[in-house]
Amino acid sequence: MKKILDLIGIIMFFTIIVMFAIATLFFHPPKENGSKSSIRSTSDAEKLINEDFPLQNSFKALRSGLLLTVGKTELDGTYLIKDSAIRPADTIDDDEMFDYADRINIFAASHKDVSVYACVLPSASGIYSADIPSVGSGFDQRHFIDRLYNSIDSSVATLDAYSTLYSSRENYIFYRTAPCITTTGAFDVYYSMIRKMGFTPRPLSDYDSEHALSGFIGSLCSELSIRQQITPDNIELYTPKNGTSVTSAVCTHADTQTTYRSVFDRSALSSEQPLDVFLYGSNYEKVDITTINKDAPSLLIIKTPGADPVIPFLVSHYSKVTVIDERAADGMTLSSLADADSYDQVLFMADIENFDDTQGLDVKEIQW
Amino acid sequence: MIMSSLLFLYFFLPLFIGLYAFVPAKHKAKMLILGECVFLGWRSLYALIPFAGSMLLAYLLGMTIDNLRFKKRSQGAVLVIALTIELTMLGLAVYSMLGFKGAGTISKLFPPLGVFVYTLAAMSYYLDIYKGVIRCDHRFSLVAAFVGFFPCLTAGPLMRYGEVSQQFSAPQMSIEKTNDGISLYLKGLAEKCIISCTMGEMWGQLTKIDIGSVSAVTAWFGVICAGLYVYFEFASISHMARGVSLMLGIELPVNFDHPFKSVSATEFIGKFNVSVTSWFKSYIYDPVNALGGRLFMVLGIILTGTAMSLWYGTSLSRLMFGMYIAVLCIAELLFAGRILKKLPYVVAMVINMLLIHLAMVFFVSEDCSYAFSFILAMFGKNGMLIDNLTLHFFENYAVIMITGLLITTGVFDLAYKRLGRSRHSFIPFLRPLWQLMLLILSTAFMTGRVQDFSGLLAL
Repeated sequence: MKKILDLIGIIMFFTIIVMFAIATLFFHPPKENGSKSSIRSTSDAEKLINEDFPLQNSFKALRSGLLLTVGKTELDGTYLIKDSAIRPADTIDDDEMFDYADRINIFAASHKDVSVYACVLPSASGIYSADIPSVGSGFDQRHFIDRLYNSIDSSVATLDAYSTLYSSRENYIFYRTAPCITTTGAFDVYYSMIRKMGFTPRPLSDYDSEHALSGFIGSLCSELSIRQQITPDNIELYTPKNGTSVTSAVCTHADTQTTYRSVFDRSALSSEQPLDVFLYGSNYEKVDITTINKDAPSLLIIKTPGADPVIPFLVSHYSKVTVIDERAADGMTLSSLADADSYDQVLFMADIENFDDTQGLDVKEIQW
Repeated sequence: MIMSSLLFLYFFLPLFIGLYAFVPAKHKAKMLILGECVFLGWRSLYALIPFAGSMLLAYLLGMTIDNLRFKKRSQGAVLVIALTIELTMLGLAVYSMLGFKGAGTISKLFPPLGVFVYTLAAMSYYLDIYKGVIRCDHRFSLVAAFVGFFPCLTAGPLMRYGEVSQQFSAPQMSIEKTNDGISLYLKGLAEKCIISCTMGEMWGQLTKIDIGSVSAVTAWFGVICAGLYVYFEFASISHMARGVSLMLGIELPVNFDHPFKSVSATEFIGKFNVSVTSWFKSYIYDPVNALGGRLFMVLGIILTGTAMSLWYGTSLSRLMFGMYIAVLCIAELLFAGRILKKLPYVVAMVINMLLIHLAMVFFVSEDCSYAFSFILAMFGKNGMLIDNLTLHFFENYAVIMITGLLITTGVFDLAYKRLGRSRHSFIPFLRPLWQLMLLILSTAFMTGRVQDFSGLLAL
């Protein structure tokens, strides 16, 4: 009997591992971008095996489920707090911070006729740092933003999003499953910043709230295949009750222009990146938005992807808004994308989560 | 290549075992050499140069030492040359690990994987021939297969040629051995992927905190974590190595015999990584101790502790670990042993575990000052009994720590034996399911994230 059981064990073990090996080699799903991976070294081969291994999501879900069952509240650096997943933002070094401040200062110095604003959006780990165990709370974002603002020339008006979001921390201001500000959080930021930019903010009652997507599971949870202990998100879109002021949104990518009639890309809601609904994600280097407010001033925004949800609220105060995405415009010069002097206001808006992208526009090539 | 990887489990292992099983017995050693080269060469082809050199020298110099057995002086001279070559290789590996100038090329030749095992295997072969324990083997394939036996290349067990030569010349593969090997390998894999990596992660989190703000209870959690981390890091590798060896028809002795149940430091080191301890004891402690007197006994222990700590790592804190264990052993042999014997078993075990765990703090710490501060924090130097991190660590790691403690203290093994002893035991029927569960769980932990599997060995 023991021999039969031993034989069953051996056959089962080798059958399973051979089946998985064959599935890894011959039945792996095609790559998202359709490219074939080249193998130049043994480490490339090992990496490819890890990428192509079958049933990855099921295995991830099993691992996450098991760890959550044994009481883990932190998985691979992501903390499960209340019903949200929060991943502490990576520390930003001083060089990167001063570099960003220098860029804004140089710009402001060479465009004295333009009102320049700077706004840095904190991440969820910055606002909820007190809830995260000190082993994972990352760096002090409040202190970082203060230091950055102190390094920016006084001619540039700095907009304090941290205090605004901190005072709204009991509200649904960050997605529970994605490292991004919600529409509610974005409205709060807009409400506080637009005053400093010289406008009277439109109250929330001026907007219709639309449940664009329910049951959204963002990247923080999908990467870990977590389904337990998390409440899925809703993506809401706020549209003005008296109709949108946007007449066109011309998106530019590699000299190709596509014209839309909205700042919301609703087709993204059914894609794998539903948050691209705001400003078409980082798919375009530049988006030129024109509105019906012909006599209103114009605004140039140089932003990182996390700032997208705020921009739709700003649009209604301007005749023209040009949005440059620093990630998409990687390596390009500002002058090749827009003539900064032709705008009344310029807003540098970066978020801590994507602060790396502030290096997108090559400083040396910028013809400020 | 490491044994706790998808590549090894799903590709190398079935392919190699399949080929090995069908190769005639007389060619199995050659097959092993091929496997050894793939296993080691996967990381760096350059590493095969000293590896092959060590195999070839073991064969040639082993024969020379044996042939000169009636000319002791010449034999001794050849032995010194052989040992010098192997020690030079070890020295170069240590040099490259310390990251000195020009270490780049050397690190390609001597990556940490393998060199600390095959050099010791070759040295034991020379020394055993010299001492007349064994005769040289004239079959190159057997000597080479022994020196670079790939399941042991990661971190042992270290073999002695006299104990395994029969098995290398005629490996006995069987259904029972293969299945036992699978179970053992999967046990080691699960220990590595689930417990060792989790403990490593916890220790990593602990070291991120300013040591001056660690509360006493958190530090006590940390010290248990350190002990489990070190134990499972090496025990898992040993279990995987023994499991793979068993699949190949080569049975290696038990290497971890529940060391955390020991009542003295000497007992502990005799049960922790037994083959490694035994290697250093045989070739360093025994010859020095044989000179007679307490002084040489103390010297032998210090030299053995130093050499062993260098084998485990090149940092000063690892050296401190070795020295600390050596001091404990000396104290026991000189006076404390008598006191320990008078104490009740449980009391002696708890005292011993506390002392051993303090050593583990040195083992896992990057520097000695951190280890000292950590130990002081355990005893309340920071003025806090508990802090908010205590709950975090308890909540996140208590279940895995308790599981680890039940395994290390042998409670699981005892239950398994008790249940298996019954005439109508259901345990044999559960074994395939147990294996399946370990395979799935280990795979889940290997694919679940890109995690650092190198652990304490920095492979």
